[in-house]
Amino acid sequence: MSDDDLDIEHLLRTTLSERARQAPSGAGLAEQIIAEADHPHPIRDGRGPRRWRGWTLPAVAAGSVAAVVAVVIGLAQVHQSHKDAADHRASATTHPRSTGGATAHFSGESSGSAVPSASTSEPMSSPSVGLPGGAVGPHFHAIDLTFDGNQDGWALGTSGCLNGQPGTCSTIVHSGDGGASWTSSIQIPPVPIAHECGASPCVTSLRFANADVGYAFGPGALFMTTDGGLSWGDNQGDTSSLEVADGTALRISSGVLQIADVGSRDWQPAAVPATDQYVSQLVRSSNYAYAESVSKKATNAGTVSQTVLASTDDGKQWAERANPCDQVKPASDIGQLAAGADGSLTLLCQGRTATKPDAPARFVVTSTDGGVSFSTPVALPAASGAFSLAAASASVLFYVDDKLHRSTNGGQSWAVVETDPTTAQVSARGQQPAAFLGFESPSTGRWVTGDGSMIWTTTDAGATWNPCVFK
Amino acid sequence: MDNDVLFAQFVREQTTALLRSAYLLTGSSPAAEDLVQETLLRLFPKWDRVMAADVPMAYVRRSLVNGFLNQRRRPQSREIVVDEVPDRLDPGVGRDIGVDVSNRDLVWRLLVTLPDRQRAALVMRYFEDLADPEIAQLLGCRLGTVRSLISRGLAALRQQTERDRLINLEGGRP
Repeated sequence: MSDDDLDIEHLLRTTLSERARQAPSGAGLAEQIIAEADHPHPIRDGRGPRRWRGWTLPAVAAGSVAAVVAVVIGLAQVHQSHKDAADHRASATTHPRSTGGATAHFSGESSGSAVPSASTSEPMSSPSVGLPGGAVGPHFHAIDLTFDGNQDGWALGTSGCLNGQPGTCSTIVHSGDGGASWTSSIQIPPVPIAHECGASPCVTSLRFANADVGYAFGPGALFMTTDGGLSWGDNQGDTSSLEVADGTALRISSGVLQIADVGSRDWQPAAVPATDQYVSQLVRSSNYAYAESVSKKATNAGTVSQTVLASTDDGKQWAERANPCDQVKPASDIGQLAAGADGSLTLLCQGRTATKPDAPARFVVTSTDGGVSFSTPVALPAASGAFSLAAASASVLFYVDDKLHRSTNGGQSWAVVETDPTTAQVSARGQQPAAFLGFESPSTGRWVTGDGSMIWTTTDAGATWNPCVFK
Repeated sequence: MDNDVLFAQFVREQTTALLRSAYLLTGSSPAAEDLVQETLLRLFPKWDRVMAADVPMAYVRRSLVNGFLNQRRRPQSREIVVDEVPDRLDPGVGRDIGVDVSNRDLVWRLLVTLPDRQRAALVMRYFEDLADPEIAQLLGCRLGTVRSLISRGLAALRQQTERDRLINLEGGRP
């Protein structure tokens, strides 16, 4: 085989893997198919049953799963990754968790004043790398991010293998200084991770409730650690979304909203008003929790019934709210949910022909009373392609398309966030606008670029951002 | 466990994976959803047969690809829809990354123009990582045909990407 063959094959693998990330997640579609099978509809035009476009709905980890199941490299490399991950697990289980090891292999570059800069203090191919506290592998790409407070953070991602082998390895890295430096700190669950995912079970997302208890989850998978990631328990089943706060964990498992105490395996159905709903999105902020549900009886776009579920007591009790996107014309669905750190809820209403060239405008609506009432819909500037929404508060909103945009008046006006010109366009490198975009408090937030190579941090409600660049 | 339950379980677990394959075959989200939905609903009445297969997912995937090929044979289905046509990366962005991204965009655009069987063979080998005999079984053709489809598909992609590279060089792109 010639070099050219190798090049085009590698390019094709990479292209297909990246493009697969843009496939719809199918969370709502699965329920529609099941409903259609149970109650088939008359053939309309000889071409098949009436179709309901699941892509018009947000799907659970629509941002995260689609963004996460990505960064896929060639499958040959994946095989190597499995081997390396196994080696990694086998060799590291006796080492204590440490945050004081070698500095992560990344350097911070600043768009402004504070420059989160770190140096490489240990060779990447050191025999000890890959152990808790070791260096981060080369070319680390984050695919999900979680912070406990504003100092302790963990990122799930992929990097070059630390034992010097070619290929890509899955990894979890930890920061104890607010994201200024990172170490490869902990083990990974014993199933395919992120870029290796082809079918369930696989892990695409990560959340930590505190320094000990963390959750790694995805299609067909939920693994919990209670020792800071040194070990992971048995698989607790399909988990498309999971959020932790105030001592409780909420998850969506096969469309069902469930609740458990942090660190417990005793998942119980949440007290939602209706049981014939498929829950497809979940967000939390302090004691507020919000979810989007879809009627299982829906058979096409015209009869899709979306509602907002709201809880003000950490998910113990839930109330059903009207869908504010029903006010928007032309017909719109709930696209994304974003919980502000002040407990507010902002919804993205998205037209049902959103991927067509003549896509209608997107709108945002915000509630500051637990979803009882919403602001008048505000149209967003025209944007193409993928899109991620986040809220620091009811008034400070963000979205990412190919750049990061910020509003300080609830979406009435938007401005592009100025960033370092050497890194400003980095979001365009990824196929998804953001692997992660969220706020831990009204002032502190994180943005992981679509290609996962940079983690931006703001401590002033998004006015300025400092990048950490993995190399 | 009855077929309805098994079907529902399979759909919930595998729809996302099927959508990825369908998206790569069809090039658009709506078409991918239609293809997955039609495939699963077509198989539902004989779900016991699917579950009796050694690898149920392989059975469904084969049906998905057949559905794609049959669908595309219909004249009204020849329109090629893609979700987006990515812009070229700003030349000011780092050259290596920019060139890589640009090449991947180009490969994606070219892929949707390939004959359906070539495209299906490439997706099965380079995304699903199936061996050539498996692809032959899936496409219902001989092993030699599979290798021919893949060889011609790769040649077309290589030729077009090289052509694009030369055009860009002549245009003074860095």
